[in-house]
Amino acid sequence: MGIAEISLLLVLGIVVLLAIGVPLGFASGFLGVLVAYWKLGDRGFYILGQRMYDLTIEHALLAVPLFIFMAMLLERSNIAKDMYDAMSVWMSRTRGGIAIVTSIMAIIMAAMSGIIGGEIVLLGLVALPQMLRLNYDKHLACGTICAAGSLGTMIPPSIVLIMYGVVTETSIHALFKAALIPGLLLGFSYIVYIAIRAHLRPEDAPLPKLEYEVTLREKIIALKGLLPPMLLVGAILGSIYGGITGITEAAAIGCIGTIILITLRGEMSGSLFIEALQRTMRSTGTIMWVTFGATALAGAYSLAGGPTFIAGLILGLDVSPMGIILVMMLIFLFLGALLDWIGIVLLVMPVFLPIVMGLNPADIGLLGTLSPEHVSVWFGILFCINMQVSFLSPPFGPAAFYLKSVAPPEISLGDIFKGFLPFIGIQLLVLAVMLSFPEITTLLLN
Amino acid sequence: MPTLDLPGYLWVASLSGFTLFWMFLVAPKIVPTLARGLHSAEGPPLTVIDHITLRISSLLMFFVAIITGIMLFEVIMRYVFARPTIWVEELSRWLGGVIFLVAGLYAMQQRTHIRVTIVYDIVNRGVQRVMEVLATVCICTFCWAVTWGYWDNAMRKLSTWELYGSAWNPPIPAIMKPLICITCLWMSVQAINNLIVDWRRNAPLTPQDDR
Repeated sequence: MGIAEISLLLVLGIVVLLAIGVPLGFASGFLGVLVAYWKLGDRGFYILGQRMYDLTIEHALLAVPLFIFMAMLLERSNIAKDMYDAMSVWMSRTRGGIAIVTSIMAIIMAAMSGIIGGEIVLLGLVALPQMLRLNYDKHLACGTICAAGSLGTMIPPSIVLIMYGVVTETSIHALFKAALIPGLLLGFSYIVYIAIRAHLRPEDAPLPKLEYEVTLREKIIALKGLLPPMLLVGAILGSIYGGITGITEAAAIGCIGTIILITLRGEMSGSLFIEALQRTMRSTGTIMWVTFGATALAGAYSLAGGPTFIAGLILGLDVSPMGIILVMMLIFLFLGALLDWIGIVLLVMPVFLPIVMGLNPADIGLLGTLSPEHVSVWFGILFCINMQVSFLSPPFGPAAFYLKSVAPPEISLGDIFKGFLPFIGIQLLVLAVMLSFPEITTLLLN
Repeated sequence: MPTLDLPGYLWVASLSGFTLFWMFLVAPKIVPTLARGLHSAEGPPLTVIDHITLRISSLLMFFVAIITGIMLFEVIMRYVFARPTIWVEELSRWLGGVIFLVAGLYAMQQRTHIRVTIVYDIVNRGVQRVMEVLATVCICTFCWAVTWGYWDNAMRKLSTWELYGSAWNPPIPAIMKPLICITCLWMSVQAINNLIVDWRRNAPLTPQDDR
């Protein structure tokens, strides 16, 4: 049996194992054991433990539990709700105002947090009742919350980019710099879409009844609610972009800042702290063991010569470099609809990125160009946008399930997914822009 | 293994004492929070194995807070006092590694390891039980293969007390490599425990949404 048959069996194996409900990390770990045994016998098992060891002492990965910890703390506090109230005061007379406020709030929260679950649940609790009370179209409301909420992993800091950086040995710092413009571009596209839709179809976004005129004085006082989140964003992104600290330390500073703010607001309690730690532990364990299993499989598969085989196969096709990248995008979108992002980063990236790096950089970019040293950063950003789509794509789009867990019962999963359609369209449009003009991602790198 | 001097013995004794104190006096107060975290209201009674996993988790989850604290200390020392430490970066690496490994045990106890339940949810309970057995076989195979392949290397690093080879020079390989084997073994124990607990139930245990 050669590597070609093994590769085919692996794809079949992972599909079958996942279908019968084996946890992703252990399914890939199990296949890793089989491949290692096939190649080297039980001597091959050493590589599994060694790959795990390399990951456990990887310093960049520490940012993962720290950013999760911070998000868990923020979720329990009313900081986000106060920010929402403050911005609503300013936007109350704008058509579609509440949906726009929701998007802006999501962008600010995305700059504090690197995960999406907490963000979508928070927006679902705070913004969804408001929009439904004002008789907003429920598809627009759900789409806004989930699409904007998913920006948590697009706008730095982002756990997706951290994992991508660790797996592909790309500078996470560079990835964070490169993701800023595409992330904001996505966010602003959502806002523009909401504004246009509210203008064309006013019945989708009715104006609130004028209860009383908000005075300028009240508006100024309301700004107070924006201060804590802005301080946190400043502390985290300032430390990273200012070159003061690394990513991991910036995450720790974010945690400290959140703890101080929560304490000052009088919301801190022993149970809040312990629950935040407990949920951090659970999420970290979940993410890390997928990582361990996948790294074991990736290690055994490269030992067996797999990535070279796949690369030869793809490069041997008579397809233009951008054709190969487009096919990869389609594969990401397809896998993203079925698999968790973490599995895709760990299982597919070790095979795909070497192929992309092997392409002639002069051929990359449909219209624009890209300097060779930025190829892996650019590809990471493309991947990140693909994963934005995957959070929204049926049947498993996690964003829908997060929102469903806090939405009123009359909103069905179908309603939520239907609301995603225009936003998925926007995401694909932004993806196309990044494919056409790769230099957008590297603007801040030089 | 290193030979210990008197302060060394005091360190080891006080750490062990604290761990014992935590396991038997503090942990029982936190375990209900940890166990409640995910199971629906009628979660099953905890077995001894669940208790061991949860008590260990109740101590180690504080490592995240400790890492946060020492990193703040490092940033302050570096920028306020211009005296960067040599130990924070390595200690946080070390503690982080412990969390990465042991958190998986907690996730296993809570049944939150990422899996696709699309088929699982529609088949009847009998088929679900077969699927759970197969999943447990996969988990045990992986964990035992890792332990098997890594055991000799880990024991050698432990007995030679291999250090990290840096300025502060903590025994990271000597501790972390055996810990990988131990965690994997306990992971298979916890998985078998889950299988037995879930086997008796008429409906599977579903975790709450993990956010």
